[in-house]
Amino acid sequence: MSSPPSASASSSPPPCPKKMITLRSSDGATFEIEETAALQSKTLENMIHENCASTLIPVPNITGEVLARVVEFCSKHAEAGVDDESLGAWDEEFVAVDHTTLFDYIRAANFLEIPTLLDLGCQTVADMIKGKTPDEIKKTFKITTACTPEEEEEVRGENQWAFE
Amino acid sequence: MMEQRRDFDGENGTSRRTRAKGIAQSEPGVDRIRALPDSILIRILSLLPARDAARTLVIPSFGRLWTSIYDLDFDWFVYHDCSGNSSWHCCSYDEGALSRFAELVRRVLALHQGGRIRKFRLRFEFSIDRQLDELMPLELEPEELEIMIRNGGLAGEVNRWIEFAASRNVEVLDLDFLACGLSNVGYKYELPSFVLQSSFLTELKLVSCKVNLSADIVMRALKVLCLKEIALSDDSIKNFIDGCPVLESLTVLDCYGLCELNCGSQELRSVTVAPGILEESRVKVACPNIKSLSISGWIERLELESLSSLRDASIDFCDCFLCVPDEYCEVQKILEELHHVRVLTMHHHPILVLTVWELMNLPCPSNSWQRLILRTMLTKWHLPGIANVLRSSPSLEVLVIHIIPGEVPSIDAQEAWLQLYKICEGNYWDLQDRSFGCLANCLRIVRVSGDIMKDHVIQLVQFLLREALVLQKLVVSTGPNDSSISVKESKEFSDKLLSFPRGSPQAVVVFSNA
Repeated sequence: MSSPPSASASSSPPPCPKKMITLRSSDGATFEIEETAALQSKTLENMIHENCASTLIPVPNITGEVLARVVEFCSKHAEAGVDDESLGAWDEEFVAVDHTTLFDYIRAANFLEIPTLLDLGCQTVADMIKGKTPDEIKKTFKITTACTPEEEEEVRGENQWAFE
Repeated sequence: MMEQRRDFDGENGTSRRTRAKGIAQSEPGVDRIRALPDSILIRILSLLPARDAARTLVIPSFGRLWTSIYDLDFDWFVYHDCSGNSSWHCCSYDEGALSRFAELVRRVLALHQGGRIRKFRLRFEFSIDRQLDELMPLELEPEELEIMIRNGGLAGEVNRWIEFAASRNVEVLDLDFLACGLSNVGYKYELPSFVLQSSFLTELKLVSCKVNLSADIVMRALKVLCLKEIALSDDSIKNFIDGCPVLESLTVLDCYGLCELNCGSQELRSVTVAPGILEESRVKVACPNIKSLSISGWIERLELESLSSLRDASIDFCDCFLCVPDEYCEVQKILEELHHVRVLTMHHHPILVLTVWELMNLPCPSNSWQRLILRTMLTKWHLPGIANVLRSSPSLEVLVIHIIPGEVPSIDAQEAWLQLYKICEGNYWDLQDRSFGCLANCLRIVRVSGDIMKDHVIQLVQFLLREALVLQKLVVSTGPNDSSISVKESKEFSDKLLSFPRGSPQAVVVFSNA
C-alpha cells in the first residue's frame, strides 16, 4: 500500500486537506480527482490556475467509463515514490485493452492535453503498425473501407520504392 | 476534418470516396483509424521508421498524412539486417542495401510536405569504395580527387539530405555513418560545417564522420552532444564546449585525440567518456560543476580531477581483463576520486577487480557511497568483490543489484585468471566471518532484479536478510523481459524467500513476478 501523495510543491507550510476536483462525464457520471493528479492535464491545470475549477468541470466528449480510467491514470502518475520500472509495467497493463478503448484514451488525452497518456497511447498504436505490411495493418485494425484491389495495385506501382 | 487529405488523388478524390463509400459502409466495423483527428495520426506516424510511415500510403484511412510526419528515422537496418551475426563476423559491404536505402531517403524527402522537422536520424554504413574504384583510373590530381569525394556521389547526396533537415529547422540530429561496419577504416564522411553553426539544434549525435575542427562551432541551443569515433584534436572539445553555452550533457566515446575534457560551465551536468583503444595519451577530465559522470572503455587512460559537485558515477571497463594485479592501482585511483559520490553504479568488470583485491586482502578505497547499483552476472567470481565493496562502504543505505544473464565473464584472457585464484564452492556467505559495517548500521533498502533464478542470488539474499539489522525493505523482482520462469518455480522461490530469518524486525520482503 503506497502512502497518499503529499500536497503540491507550491502549497503553504500548514498542511491543508487534499484539494479535490470533480469532473462530470458526457453521460452524467461524476468523478473526484486530487488536484495534484489533475495537474497532469494541461487543460485542467489552466482551469485550476484561473480559479474556474471550484465547482464541477464538465467533460462533454468523454464517457464515464473512459473518464474513470483517465482519472486512474493521472492519479497513478502523480503518486510519489513509484520507481520507473514499476510505473512502466503499470502503463503496459493500462494500455492492454481493445482498440476502441485505446483510441478513446488517446482522444481523451488529446482533449485534456495529458502528454504522458497521449504519448503512451500513440506509441502503443505505432508499435502495432511497425514492421507490418499494409495488409497486416488493415487486418490488425479491422479496416474495411478499402479501395478496390486494382486501385491499390496502381498506388503500389507508383510507389515501388516504399515496398522494396 | 480535412477529408480531402485522406484521398489518394486530390483531384479525383471525390469520385473515389463515393465509390469506396458504396462498398464499405455496410460493414458494422467503423474505421476507427479514420475517426481519429489528423494531428493524432501524424503523431502516431511520426513514431514509426520512415519506411513504415511511407507504406501507409496504400491504406486509405491514412492517405497522405505520412508526408507530414515531423520525425524522420532512416535506418538501413530495414534493408541490411545483420543482427543474427556474432559480434566477430564482419558483414561484407552491402551495395544493394545501400542503393535501396538511398532511394528511400530521396523519395521521402522529395514527397515530404510538413514545414517543420523535429528529429532527423540517419544510420547506415558510409562507404565510397565503389566510387573510388571508378575514380582511380581517371588519375586525377589529389585536390581534384578530394573535391570529387567530398562533394560528389554519396557524400554529395548526404550533404543534400542534411541540408534538407537543416532547412526545416531540425532540432535533433542523429547521424551514424558506421552502423555495423568496421571502426576506423576507409574514408569518412565529412560533416558540412553549417551543422555546427545551427541555432536550432538541441541535440546532436555524430558517429564516425570527419568534423572540420578549424571551423567555428556555435550552437546556442544545443543541450545534448554525443560524439563517437570522431577524430579530435587538442582544442576540439574546448571549442565544442565554448561554442555551446547551454550544453547539459556531453558524451565522448572512442574519440581518438581526446586529451582533456575541461569544463567549468554551470550548465554542464553530465559527462560520459570512454577512451578508445587507439588513445595514446592520458585523458584528463576536470569538470567541477558536473553532477553525473559515466566512464567506460580504457579507463586506465583517464585522469580524474576536480569533480567536487559529482553526485553519481558509473564505472565499466572494456573487455580486456588482464590479470596483472599491479595495473589495478589505476582503478584504485579512480575509485578514490569517486569516493564522495552519493550513487555509484558498477558494471561487472570492475566488480571482478574488487574480487582480485579481496582475494589478495586489499581493501576497496573507503568511500561515502549511499546508493550502490551493481550490474553483474553474479557468478562465484563476483562474490568476493561484492563482499569487498560491502565492507568498505560504511554509509551504504540502498543496494540495487541487477543480474544480467550469463555464467562466465565473457573475456578471452579470463581462462588464466580463473585458475590463479581459488574460489571456494558452496555458500560463500556462510564462510564470511568478518563484519560488514553498513549491514549492521545503515543498509535500509535492497532491490534485486533480472535473472534471479541463479543459485547465488538466493544465497546472497538469505545473507542480506540475516545480517542487515536495520533493513526496511527487500524487493526481488524478475526482469521486465523475463518470461522463462514457470509459476511453480516462482512460487518455490517466493516461499523460500519469505521463510528466511530476518535480522531486522521491521524488514518487509516483496517478491514481484511482473
